[in-house]
Amino acid sequence: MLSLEHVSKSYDTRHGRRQILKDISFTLARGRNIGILGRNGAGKSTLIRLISGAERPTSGRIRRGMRVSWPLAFAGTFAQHLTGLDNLKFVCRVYNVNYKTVLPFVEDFTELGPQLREPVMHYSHGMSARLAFALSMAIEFDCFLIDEAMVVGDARFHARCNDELFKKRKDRAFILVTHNAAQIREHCENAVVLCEGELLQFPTVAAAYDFYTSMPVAAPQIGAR
Amino acid sequence: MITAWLRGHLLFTFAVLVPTVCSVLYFSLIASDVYVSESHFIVSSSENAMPSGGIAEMLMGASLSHGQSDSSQVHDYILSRDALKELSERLKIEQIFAHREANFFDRFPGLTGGRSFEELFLYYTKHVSVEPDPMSSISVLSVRAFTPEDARRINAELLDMSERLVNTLNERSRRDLIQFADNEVKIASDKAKDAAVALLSYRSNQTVYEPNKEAAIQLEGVSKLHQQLITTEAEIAEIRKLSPDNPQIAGLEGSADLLRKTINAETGKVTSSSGSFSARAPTFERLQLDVEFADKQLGMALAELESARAEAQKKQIYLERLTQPSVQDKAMEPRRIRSIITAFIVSLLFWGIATILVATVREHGE
Amino acid sequence: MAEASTTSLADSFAIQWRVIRALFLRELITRFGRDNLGVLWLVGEPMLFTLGVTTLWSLAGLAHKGSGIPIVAFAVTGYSSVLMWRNSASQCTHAIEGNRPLLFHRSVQAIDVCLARIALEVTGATGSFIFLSSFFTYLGWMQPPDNIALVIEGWLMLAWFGASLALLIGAACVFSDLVHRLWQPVSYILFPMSGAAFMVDWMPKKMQGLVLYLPMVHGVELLRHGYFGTVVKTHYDLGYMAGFCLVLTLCAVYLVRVAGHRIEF
Repeated sequence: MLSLEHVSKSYDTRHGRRQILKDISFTLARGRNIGILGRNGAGKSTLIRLISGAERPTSGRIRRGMRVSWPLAFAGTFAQHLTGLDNLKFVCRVYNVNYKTVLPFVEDFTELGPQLREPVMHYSHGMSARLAFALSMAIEFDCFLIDEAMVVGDARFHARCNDELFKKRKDRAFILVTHNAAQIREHCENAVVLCEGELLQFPTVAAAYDFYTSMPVAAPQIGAR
Repeated sequence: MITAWLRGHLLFTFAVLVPTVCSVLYFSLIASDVYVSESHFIVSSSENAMPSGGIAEMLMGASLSHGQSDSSQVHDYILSRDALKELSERLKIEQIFAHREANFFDRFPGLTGGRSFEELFLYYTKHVSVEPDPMSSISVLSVRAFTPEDARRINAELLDMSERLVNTLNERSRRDLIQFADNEVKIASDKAKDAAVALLSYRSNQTVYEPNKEAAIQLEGVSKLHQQLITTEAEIAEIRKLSPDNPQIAGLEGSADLLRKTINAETGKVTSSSGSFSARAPTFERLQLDVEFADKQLGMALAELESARAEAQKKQIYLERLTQPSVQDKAMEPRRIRSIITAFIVSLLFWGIATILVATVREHGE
Repeated sequence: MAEASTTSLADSFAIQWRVIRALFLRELITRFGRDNLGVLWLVGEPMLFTLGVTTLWSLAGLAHKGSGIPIVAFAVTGYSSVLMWRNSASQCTHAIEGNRPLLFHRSVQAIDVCLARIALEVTGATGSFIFLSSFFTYLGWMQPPDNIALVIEGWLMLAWFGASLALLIGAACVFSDLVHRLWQPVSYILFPMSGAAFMVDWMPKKMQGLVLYLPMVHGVELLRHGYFGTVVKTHYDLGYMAGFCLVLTLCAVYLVRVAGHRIEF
């Protein structure tokens, strides 16, 4: 069970305090999923960081009753000078997994071949994303955080991601954050809309979809942090 | 309700309350009064200059001035096993430290229960301290015991023993310094005696006193004979000129011949190879030089002995008592309130660190 | 705390231990790589530093006449201890900022990153100290320690001081870049005053009082007391050093926690 209780987050900027998230509450039970729709700058990435635990809410609390992954395909945690394999070993050590058991899967999924033993700084954006995604699949998580903006890659990668995530791990919970309403309709059983830092609840995915697609495009806000 | 609160704040209870309560109990009920006896003394030597203590000394490093090394000798001694051994022969030190009224933790043998000499020594070093005063070369000897009189007695005894040590040290350094010079004098005077004896026996053997002077006297006689010979020869020549047949001539020539023979014989006494004065002179000269040299050496050795005596006098160190062992009429130790407050603050610090660390550790568990 | 913990303290500690170990190995390979000597540089780097300083001091004739300590032993015992607190703190100045993305892994906390770096530095300095002193002892340039227990005690105290100082500096750097900029000059000024290059006893009494306000001086003196025994006269107060470290540790762990919670992207 994952729950957010009256979570707010604000940052100090040069133009004074800026509230990104206002009093957000929702819960996600084991094996369920939720889609969060939001335009650029609505606070989606901030919300992901809060849920993943990299940052702390200004007020309110987040309870994690299950193992929550880091944002899927997020390659920022890699040490650039280390090889892909060393990074893999590090993640395995942190999550207490024997790296030998996951290595075949990672090698197969990333299709990096000998490149896996090269420093990550030589990887392309897509290669890093593949490795990061494979790693989050290799570790047993109860709940996946998916920031659509982070999952970059070609169509084949997307297809394989969808296969791993939505087919093979159907029993897991996930939170999908995207600005793409079609994605939500395709994968999620619940949907909410994040609009100017506030979370709007809807009884059905269709209702959220309709609201989001008919929403007037708000004046562009200062870019997402 | 209190137990519920304590149970809710286990960390606080164990890190702060328990130690603080323990220290309050210990310092208010258990800890025995400890009396300190202090005495001040100074160890100095007559040649000692005061330590300069400037930046130069810091740069020059550890060139200890004499006074410091002397006082550190005394400090070392006071905190040595030898001192404790001597002390326990004079006072019943073990009984003093195992005072009946002292509590179990503070008195000897304490918690470990061992009564070995090493344990006594450890206990001793914790109750006797000797510290140099930072600003002067005064040393402060403090002794802790369970009654003021005991502390004073130990302190006084240690001062006495230190004085004796200083005296022994003085005696030893005096002996070391003078012994060498003394030895030198002995050797030199032996040599002088030997040389004088050698000269004396040479004189009596050879029946001469001063060969050179004696030769000179001899030669003087010879030259007088020469003079006489020349006069005689001149007389002969003159008579021959006037009257060659003068009968006086034969007599004069006889005496001239006699003079010539005597001259030859007397000259031979001075210069001939055997038994003459000139043959004896080198040996005599050598013996005389020996005597002179030995005399000079003896003089030098005696002067050295004199200066060694003076040096030893200068190197004498003194232990001066500035204040006699004090007697406290009120126990100033342990500092109960201060110790309790310290214990409280330290346990608070521990608690603070532990609380934060526990919270940090907990954050690792999801 | 922002979330309820369902894991026991022991399990949480096991997780933290795992994390620090993982970070330690990650740092080790990142910094020293696998090329040439590889991780041996962990010990090699401080060793070279110490050797260099030892050579310099020997050439400069820093040996104090009559002190009875060979200059090599003096330099090894002094400089190794400086390395421990100075490098730990220097390495921590960028630890939290530089590893911010790692916080996306739920179990990685700001303090872990610092602790891993501190562990690395302490390990390196300790290894270098042990290696150099055994090597020089083998060569006969140094005597074996007089009292190993005291040496270990002094070393542990110095490590504690180094760790708490490093945590404090590391956390403070999150709040202001100024700390990072100031730390370098401050560490250079502290070095000559740290007791590595002198014995307190060599100072005039007035200076001794001042110098003994610095906690690391007590540690070095204790270390040297253990190493050289009664050959040298040492001045140290373990109580003072422990008290100082205790306060420093409290400030450090508090600040690291606040810093860790303050991290923003």
